[in-house]
Amino acid sequence: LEDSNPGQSLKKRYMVSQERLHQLEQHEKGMEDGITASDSGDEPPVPEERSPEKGDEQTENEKEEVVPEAAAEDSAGDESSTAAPKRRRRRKKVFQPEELEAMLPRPSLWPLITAFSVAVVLAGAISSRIVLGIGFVLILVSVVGWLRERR
Amino acid sequence: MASRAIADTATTTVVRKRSFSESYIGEWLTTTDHKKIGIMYMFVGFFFFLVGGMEALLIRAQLAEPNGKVLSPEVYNEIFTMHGTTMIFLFVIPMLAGIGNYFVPLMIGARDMAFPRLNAFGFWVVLFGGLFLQSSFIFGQAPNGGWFMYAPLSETAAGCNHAYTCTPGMNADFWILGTTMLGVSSIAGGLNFVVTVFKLRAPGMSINRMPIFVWMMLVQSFLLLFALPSLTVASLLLLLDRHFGTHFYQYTNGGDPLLWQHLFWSFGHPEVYILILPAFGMISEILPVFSRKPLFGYTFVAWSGVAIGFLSFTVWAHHMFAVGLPAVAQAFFATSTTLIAIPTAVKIFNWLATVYGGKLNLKTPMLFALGFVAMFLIGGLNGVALAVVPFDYQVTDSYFVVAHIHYVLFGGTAFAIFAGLYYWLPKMTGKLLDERLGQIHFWLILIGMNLTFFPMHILGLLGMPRRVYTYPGDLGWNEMNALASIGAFLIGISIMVFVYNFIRTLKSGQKAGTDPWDAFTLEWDTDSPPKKYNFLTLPVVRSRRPFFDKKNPEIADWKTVVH
Repeated sequence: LEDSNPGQSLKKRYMVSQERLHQLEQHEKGMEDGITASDSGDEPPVPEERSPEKGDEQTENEKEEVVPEAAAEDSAGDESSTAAPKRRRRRKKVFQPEELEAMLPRPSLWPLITAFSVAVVLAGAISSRIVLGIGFVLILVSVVGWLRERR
Repeated sequence: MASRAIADTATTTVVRKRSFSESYIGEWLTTTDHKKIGIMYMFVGFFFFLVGGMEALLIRAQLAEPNGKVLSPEVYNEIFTMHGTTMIFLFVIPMLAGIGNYFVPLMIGARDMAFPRLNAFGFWVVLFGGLFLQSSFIFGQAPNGGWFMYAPLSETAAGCNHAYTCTPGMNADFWILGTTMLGVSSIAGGLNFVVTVFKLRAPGMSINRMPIFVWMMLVQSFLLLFALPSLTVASLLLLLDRHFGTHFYQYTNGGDPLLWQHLFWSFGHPEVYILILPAFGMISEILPVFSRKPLFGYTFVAWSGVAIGFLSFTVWAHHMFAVGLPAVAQAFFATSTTLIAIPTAVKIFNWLATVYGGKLNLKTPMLFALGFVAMFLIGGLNGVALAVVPFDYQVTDSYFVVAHIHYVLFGGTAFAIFAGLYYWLPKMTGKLLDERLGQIHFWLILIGMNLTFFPMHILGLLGMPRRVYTYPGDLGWNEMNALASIGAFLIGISIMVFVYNFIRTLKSGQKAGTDPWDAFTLEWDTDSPPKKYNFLTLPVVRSRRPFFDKKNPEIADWKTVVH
């Protein structure tokens, strides 16, 4: 699909040919049917049979997914690329909601305490040295608490 | 015996005591979820918008007629200083940070921000910093030197040798420390956004497929990281001058008062773009959805934002034409200021091209977005006028400048924020805001805004200086000031309509569903409100409109257009 004719209009340059569109649609259909794509993005997808061993290995929470390889890398700025995403077979775990929630960062009171400590230091800076001292102690405590907290 | 004990244990239900973080209050106080933090940012931002709005109404009440006596001169100085400070540092920045916090991870297909605890810290610093600044009213020491806190006006009496032209109390200290604290929050937030956008995008979401709002938040974050240190340094030097005997800004002791202006405005002008770029991003999301078209000129819209970001660091001294800069410097800053109009105009033309020929759906978010384009255009054009040095000499420090900044920041940023709220609140709350009340809100605020700020252009041309406490009745300013005050109260009424609409919607609003606007981007591919983990499986992105692709596989963008 690389545009070899600079005289083409912008619209044409960015439109996909009918032939390529057909290939992409076949590719998409293949994905929906659980068929993985070939390693070459420029070639039409070739159906690949799933091995029985791999099928047996799948647990309830796991399933086969097709992930664009290019996506795993930073494809920044690759605007001119017209090839379909390069694909490869990757085992990807599909998590349950509870598992996902457990993986997210746990709640913590230390950010609030640290911010409060900063405010006390500032208040101390324009009121009294005692307040300022308390603020610094609070900052020390909150930073240590934050660092020691288990994730 | 032993087996019986085991059996007893087995049948006993163990009731686990709920931890603090599982209680309702504790959940909010300890949260590291970007959506909850975003909501808290928005609530705090809106609270301070009401505070800043009340201050604006007091100013307009004082100026509604000549020789007004609503406020004393000292309180008037405090009120206009805190109005600017509150609106810029405590309304717009937190509100944009809140919207960004909530939607950037959703739009890029991430489960949270890169540093969730730093994110929470940033929010709490804003809250305490805001309370610290506003508490100055309780001590009768509110900042009173303008939101720019010019030195040597903000020096202590010992610093400038003229007690009557200085700020001997703690007023300026509150401002210095408060803004420094808010700067800490902004730097933490900026860092978090940059890392989140660069590292946590969903598979397939290349830089050139990111939603424009994400682009603009990214540019804004860089601006925050590079611009804020200038303000922090300037403030700390002023603090040293005030309390530790240094003379950085003291002319009589060999210092340079202009140093403050240079340091402040090298933060202050990028700050204007810090406030407007995310607004550009929101408008670039809303216009295509309500025009049923992809954004026209995506690449130009995105990169013009980057260009604005770079150029914003080269224009600061246009705030200082009147101080007597060398002619070469004036020419340079006039040119760079005019130059920045080009990428801004690129955006406006692309928005118009997006709307042109579209199937327009004039719901409230779209009305606010179109209102934004019109109002910002006026603000932008009179900004270009101010870049012309001889004209700037005539109107500098007059109400013309007040009109300009309000068309940009109120007609611009505030309109975009309302557009964003009407657009995204259904996602956050699961309920649609009432459309009729929304339209009433829009028309009232549009009329109110133009009544308030358009006459200020004329007042400026007639020579009314900004920041004056009152004025005599024989200068031809009376009618325009009266109109401006009427408009301000109309804006106040429109905000009450919005608040009523919001509360009514929360109580008994119509259910929104997951995708009430038939939108294009990933945040709409989640529940309303989204689950804590956002996406059960991370989406795979193939074009700039991934959710559109998902809903319309037969005409998906990735099949027909190469991005």
